Amino acid sequence: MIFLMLQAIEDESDRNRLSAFYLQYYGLLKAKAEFVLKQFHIGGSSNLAEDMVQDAMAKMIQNIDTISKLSDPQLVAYGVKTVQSCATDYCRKMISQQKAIEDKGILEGADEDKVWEDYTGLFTEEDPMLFLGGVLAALPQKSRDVLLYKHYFDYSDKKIAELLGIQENSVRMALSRARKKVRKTWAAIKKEKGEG
Amino acid sequence: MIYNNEQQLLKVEDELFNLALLGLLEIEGRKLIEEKEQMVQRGEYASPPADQLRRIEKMIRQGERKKVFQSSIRKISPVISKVAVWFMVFIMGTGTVVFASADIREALYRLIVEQHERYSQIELQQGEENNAEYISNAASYVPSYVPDQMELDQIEKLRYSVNASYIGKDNEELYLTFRQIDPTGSAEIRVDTEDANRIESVAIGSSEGLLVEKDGSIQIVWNADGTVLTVISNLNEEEVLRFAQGIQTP
Repeated sequence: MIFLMLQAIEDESDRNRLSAFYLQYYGLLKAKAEFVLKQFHIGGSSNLAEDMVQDAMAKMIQNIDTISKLSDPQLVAYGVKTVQSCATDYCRKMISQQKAIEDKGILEGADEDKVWEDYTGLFTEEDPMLFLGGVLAALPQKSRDVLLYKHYFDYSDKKIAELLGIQENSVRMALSRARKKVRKTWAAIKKEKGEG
Repeated sequence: MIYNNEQQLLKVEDELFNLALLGLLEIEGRKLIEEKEQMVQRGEYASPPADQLRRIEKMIRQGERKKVFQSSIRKISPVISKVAVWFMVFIMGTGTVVFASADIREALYRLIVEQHERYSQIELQQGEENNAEYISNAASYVPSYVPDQMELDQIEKLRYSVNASYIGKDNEELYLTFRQIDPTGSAEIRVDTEDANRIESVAIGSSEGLLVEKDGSIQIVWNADGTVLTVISNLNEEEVLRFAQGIQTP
């Protein structure tokens, strides 16, 4: 038997939400794209940044299932990561001299213990999502980018490494460290509540 | 809570990690919203050009249509060639309530058993260009009437169907989607009629179709010599019916 669902065609709320997002955050997305372009010394082109925003919107439209589950701030972060990814992709394709931006190994410099101490204060945070998110938010920027690109964009380790200018094993290390931090946090909470 | 095996423990860890990732996204998003507000206050904030906005809105609509097409085709493709005999059944979302209507039962029965004759000929109004695009996509049927306010947006050839999307020339909120599905075996067609305002049988040429009005859209489904044709639109019923009735072999 074949089951063919012929459904009402459009989900208006998703469409309106994306249009509203574009209207409201176009300026931010464009500024973020310009920033990336500038970092790669391809700055100064407003049209190019606009193109990056459009590419990012096209990607977001393709991933509307993911987007529809996100809160407004999460959608903003997702949109910014998307435009940054598009702009970086573009720049990397444009620049032939990649040596300077590869193998930086920035993630290796993360100080786990310090990060952990900084966020013990968040034990009082009522919202568990924000509390646990805070643990990850204390990671270095590139580690955070690794997490988001891996889990929300489903990029391969290789692609993430290229985007962020790090080695592939640094990607795996960042993922492993992040998991470990969440696990440690959970263990600490359990211990505090006498469940451990 | 006691987690008594490794698998449960891993599952909990996965869920916690996913929650943490959502939290991270939320925190980053909040910071970005603040950053945006500061840009606005400094007068550095750019608004999108009007033409860009229109382009993005069009992309969003195209993305939605593509998603619906892909979703329905995914459901049909794995099993489409297994059974030899063609028939179709309409399953109602509200099941027993709808089937309790004698009129609907009769309409469904006729749809299942009726051997359809050829469509009556309708004079072609549509430009040959669009027909050529249909034909190049291996479509068996082409529309001979397209409402004035609509224009062809895209035609997409999938494994078992050809899907054509029309949008309003001046009002991009208007849409009309025409699909022709050529399954090679038995098919059960499921039409989403849950909470429909109206379900009734309609004459499409010499065939009988099912018309469903729901959420501001009209959907018509009928069988033409083994090809399932569907039209979904938010135009008024008269226009949708006229479009459906004008569909014929090229």
